[in-house]
Amino acid sequence: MSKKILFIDDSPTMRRIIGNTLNKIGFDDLIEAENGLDALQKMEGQSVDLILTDWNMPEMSGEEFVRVIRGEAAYKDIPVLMITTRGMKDDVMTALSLGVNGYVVKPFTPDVIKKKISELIK
Amino acid sequence: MPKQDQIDEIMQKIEDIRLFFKMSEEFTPFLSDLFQFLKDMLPLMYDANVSIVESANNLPTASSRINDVNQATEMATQEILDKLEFISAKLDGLTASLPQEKQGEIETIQTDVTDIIFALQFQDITAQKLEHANRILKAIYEKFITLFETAERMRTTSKVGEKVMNDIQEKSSTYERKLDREKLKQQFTDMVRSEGISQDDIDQYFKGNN
Repeated sequence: MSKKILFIDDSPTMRRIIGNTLNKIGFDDLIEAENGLDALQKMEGQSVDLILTDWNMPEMSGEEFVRVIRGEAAYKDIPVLMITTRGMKDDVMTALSLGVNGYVVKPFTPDVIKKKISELIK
Repeated sequence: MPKQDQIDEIMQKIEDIRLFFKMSEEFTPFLSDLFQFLKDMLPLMYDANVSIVESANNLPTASSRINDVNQATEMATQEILDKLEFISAKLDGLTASLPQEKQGEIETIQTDVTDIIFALQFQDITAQKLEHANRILKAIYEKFITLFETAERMRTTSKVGEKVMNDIQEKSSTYERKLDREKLKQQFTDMVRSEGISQDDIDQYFKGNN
């Protein structure tokens, strides 16, 4: 598969787990970032097909990051999957109103991630 | 012979004195109540002061320990991931060299390794919960500092304030109090606990949105 996936998480453990999973399901064109700000810098001049992002992160949270990219013509249509420990209904509603396309609460299983990615990358 | 206006003035003074005594009569019960209230309050204030000082002193240490725990579990998890990735790569290498009937067993082990890798998400989840608890501790500590500063100001604004603060400080230094640790623990658990939402419910919200 030649799809490029950006995944953002401040936890090195989570980045390794997500990276591993993406590799196993056949994605090897990956960009990883530690927070929203780092992601914006790494996205410059790149064409990204899917973004997986955590919510709670230092420097720039997932919420702020989605707000920024949804306001940028170049990035506004990239599907975003939020992967977070925040499992309250209000959080899900906030994500939905920001323009997030999918939402997964940690801990997740490989099957859930596979399913969500296949729904978002068509 | 005194003039009428002098007599009036004297009468007014007498009336003022009478009013003063009448007012004192009305204020006396109130003042007694107030002093009784202060007398009852002081032991409670000693108690609260000891507890607050004790808790406030422990907060920076507790916060620092939370950070240490997070760092230690992060490092340990990275080491476990190193080993698991090594095992997984070895298993991949073995698969090709094994007969067909044995390859199924390797796949089962690979699935187990993947499950262990995914279970390591606990590290990030607990780290975030601890970080949340840490933020609460820091906020409480800042409130305590403000409280102590206000108490110090009280000492300088009035003689009564100075006396009350000195009494509290003096008694606190020799006063011991047993904390209801179980109750505190429960309150803390309630503070950080939150009710979640299921993945199916989340999917329903996003249905038709993509």
